Amino acid sequence: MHKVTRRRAFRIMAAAAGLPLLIAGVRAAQPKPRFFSWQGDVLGAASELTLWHSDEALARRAMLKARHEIARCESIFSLYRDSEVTRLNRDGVVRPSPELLEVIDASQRLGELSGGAFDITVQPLWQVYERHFWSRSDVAPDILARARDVARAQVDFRRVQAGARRVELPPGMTITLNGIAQGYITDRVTDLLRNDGFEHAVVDLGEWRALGSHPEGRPWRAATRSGEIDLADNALAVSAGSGTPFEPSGRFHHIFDPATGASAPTPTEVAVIARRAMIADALATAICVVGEERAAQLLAAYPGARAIVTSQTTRKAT
Amino acid sequence: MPRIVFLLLTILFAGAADAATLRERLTPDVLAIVMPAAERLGAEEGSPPAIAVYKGSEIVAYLFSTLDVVRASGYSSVPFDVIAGVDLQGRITGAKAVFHAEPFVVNDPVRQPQLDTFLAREAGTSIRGGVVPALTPDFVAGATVTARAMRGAVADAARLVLRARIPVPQVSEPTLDHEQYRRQTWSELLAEGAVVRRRITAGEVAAALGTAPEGAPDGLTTDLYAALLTPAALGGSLIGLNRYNEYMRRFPPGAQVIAVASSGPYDFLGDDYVRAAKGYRFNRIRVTQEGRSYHFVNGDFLRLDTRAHEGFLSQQYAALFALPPTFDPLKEWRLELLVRGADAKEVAFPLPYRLPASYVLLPEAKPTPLWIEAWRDARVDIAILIAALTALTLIFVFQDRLARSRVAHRVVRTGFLLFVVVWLGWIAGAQLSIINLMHYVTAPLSAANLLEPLIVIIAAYTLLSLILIGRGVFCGWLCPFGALQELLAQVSRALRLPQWTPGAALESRLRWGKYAAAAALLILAFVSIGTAESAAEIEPFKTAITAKFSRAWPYVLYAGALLAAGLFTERAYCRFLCPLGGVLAAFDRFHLLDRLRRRAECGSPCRLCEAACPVRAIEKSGKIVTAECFQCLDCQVEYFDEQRCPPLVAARRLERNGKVAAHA
Repeated sequence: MHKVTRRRAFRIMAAAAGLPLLIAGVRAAQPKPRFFSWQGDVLGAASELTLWHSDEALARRAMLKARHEIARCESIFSLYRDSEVTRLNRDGVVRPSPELLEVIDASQRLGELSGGAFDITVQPLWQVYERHFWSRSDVAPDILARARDVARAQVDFRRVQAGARRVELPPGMTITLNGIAQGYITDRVTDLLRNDGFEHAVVDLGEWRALGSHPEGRPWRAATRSGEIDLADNALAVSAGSGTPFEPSGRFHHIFDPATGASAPTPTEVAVIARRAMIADALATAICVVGEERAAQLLAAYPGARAIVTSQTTRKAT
Repeated sequence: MPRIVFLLLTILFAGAADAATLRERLTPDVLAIVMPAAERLGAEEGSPPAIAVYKGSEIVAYLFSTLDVVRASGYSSVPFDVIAGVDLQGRITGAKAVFHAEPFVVNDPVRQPQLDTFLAREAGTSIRGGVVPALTPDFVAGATVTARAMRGAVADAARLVLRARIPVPQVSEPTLDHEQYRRQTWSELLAEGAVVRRRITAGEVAAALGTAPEGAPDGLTTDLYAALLTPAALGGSLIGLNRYNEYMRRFPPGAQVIAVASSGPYDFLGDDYVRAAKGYRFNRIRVTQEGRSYHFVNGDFLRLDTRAHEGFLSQQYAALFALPPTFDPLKEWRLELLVRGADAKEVAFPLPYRLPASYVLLPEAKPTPLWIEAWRDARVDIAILIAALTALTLIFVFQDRLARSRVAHRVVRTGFLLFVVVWLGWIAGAQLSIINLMHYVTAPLSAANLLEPLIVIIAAYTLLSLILIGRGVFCGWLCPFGALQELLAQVSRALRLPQWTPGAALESRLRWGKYAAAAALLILAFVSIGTAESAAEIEPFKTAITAKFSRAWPYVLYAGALLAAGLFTERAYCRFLCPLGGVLAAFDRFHLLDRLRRRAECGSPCRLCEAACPVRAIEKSGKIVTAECFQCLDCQVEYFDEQRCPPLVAARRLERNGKVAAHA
């Protein structure tokens, strides 16, 4: 090895300074970062991807990849086109993709934890109400009795047999993953963006997931009825029975109590903040059904998750 | 839950206060927001109701209200009223909420303007979705049910308004457009080939029959016209819409009808068609299509009145003929005029016809697959990359010639590496990564693999070069991070920074690092691709190349440290850590060609190349370990250097001595 002369030491120091300068130079040479955004329909909901980056080509490529991933997930979870879920509902059996199995497993776990308040087999109830309210907005006296019968006979998540090779439903039962799949897809897309090196992004597919913080250094801010909610590297899901009412009084809506078959007497709004959108999505639905008294018990199973329950008169964070 | 169903349901609800007409609600202020370019407005009409927006005499867009069309609501059960415009291409021209009772927004000094901006931003977006041009980010805060519901309602209402007003019949395969009528002039019909024409002279007829022409050779025998009559726009323009409708009724339903006309001494009718003895058969024309011939009899025929001043009905004779269902109007056909000579020899003069595309309804194009969109977007980059790969191929084909010149090799190699770092890496972002490889092996058939065209091309080239030459073609020439390290190493050498080379034993142990990283990542990929993708952060590629160091500082620090290591030990990352390099090196042993030249003296006694190899890929024995070789060709430059390669120097000395001896 050569002796370290003064000149040599100087050169080493130049190199030591030169490399950071090069890195800083490459960083500085880029155009100013800005927002890129894509809008479209995902599982029937208006959706939006928002990325913050300096490289437009990279952002566009990432959005293409995200759209591809969304389309792939829709072909698994959609209720409105050919998908694994529609095939399962039609045939009573399907060979699941790992994604379907993952979502069903998570649903079943939440079903157990919530004592049946979260149940993916409520789809027959949706059909009862949809058929009823499609043609008339008055409430027939026997609708609740009919819904109760359906709930007894055709709603029970414990009867779904989910294995790696086949998922099977008893005759007459159908499932919906709409209370959880949107959150799952939100997570998939967010992970994809993070793996592509994006550090500031918001994925909004009905549930929101923030990647990093707002480029200004503050959290992303989501406005909900429960107030402004700060998001940074976490997810937000908002559920309210009023979101999809069947008739004007709001007594009949899409969040059902699997035990009675009736629409659950939900709080005005339940906002759940969790690390992942899938969990937030499912918890928000479940808390709508169990009510805020039992929310804490559910949340305890998911570290980091919290809920803000807004009722007509009160607002309470759990 | 299905928004459409929800919206339809809300239509059934009684609720909001009865609003004034759309025209009354559309104040100048609102109009300026939703349709700034409006010249003139039509009446509010139709179902769903909308107001046409004119530019000159043409309709260019429609204005509508979500309250009138979809009656959607947000938080409040009282439906909101957003007035918006949509142009004929399905782009929203602007939107403004003129009434709402949304509890969270109404009378809120902050949120109300935010909502206005949010809706104004809808201008330019397509109802089919897509990449949105402008964005004000804190409308994540607009992620309220209100904003979302209004945006959805505008798109839904625009779709319904357009669907009712631009009624394009939906077809599942190309279909003849029977219904839609548009008036076209005789010259337009001729110009677009909807009517075809052929002039046949006496000379042509005589030549075909092999006889002498009757009269002057350029005298007219017949001027023949043919057209398909069935599409309303064509038939109606040709003979007049009333006549078209009347005549079409006289033919059996579903029949295809052609129109034929001629002027000149030889008409297409002949007179056999009125003779029972001839079977009422037309003996001067027939239609052929795909080897099938159609002849006509009197019953297939309608004579047209030809007293018009111009056009089809101004010819001497004009008639309509019906064809059976086996005839396909969308395929090419020929009308043949038959002429018989004295010896009953028959010649046919064909008049080919192909229906112009404007009379054919095409099924709505399926949305282009995303990967095709990706390749189309990247076509310029693809062309540049292919040119670069062609250059690289030529470098390897002519590597001996290149290595004979130290200067040329240095210039070509440094130039190529600069191109790879700056263009391929930083500009095009095409850094092949272990993540790509993980996706290829775990989901080889997924179309997602095709979404990055440059990566696909580089991967294919890398595979081919791995089979032919070895891993060095990619690692040494096409990896932007590798190129960056090598360029920095050149700077480091120019500054004469101390270089540290591990001893042979340590070197061979360190080399296993990349195999271990590769194995760990690939196994992890099969367990959980998401975890594997995170673990692939061991690669500094994303930080240094695709993100150009614009990442959080721990990543930048890591990439910087690896680059710094490369200053003192050439390509330290590539040799000891790179999982992608590990995979490629593992498969290197199967390569087919050994194109790096060696001599018997290499290794023993000469060790010049071993010292010249920047990555120590040459063993003491003189053998090149191609799994560690980056194909930089430095050893080949030494090999051809007559001043330095000892066997060459010795041979030259011998030769000179020989010459001296010969002189003596």
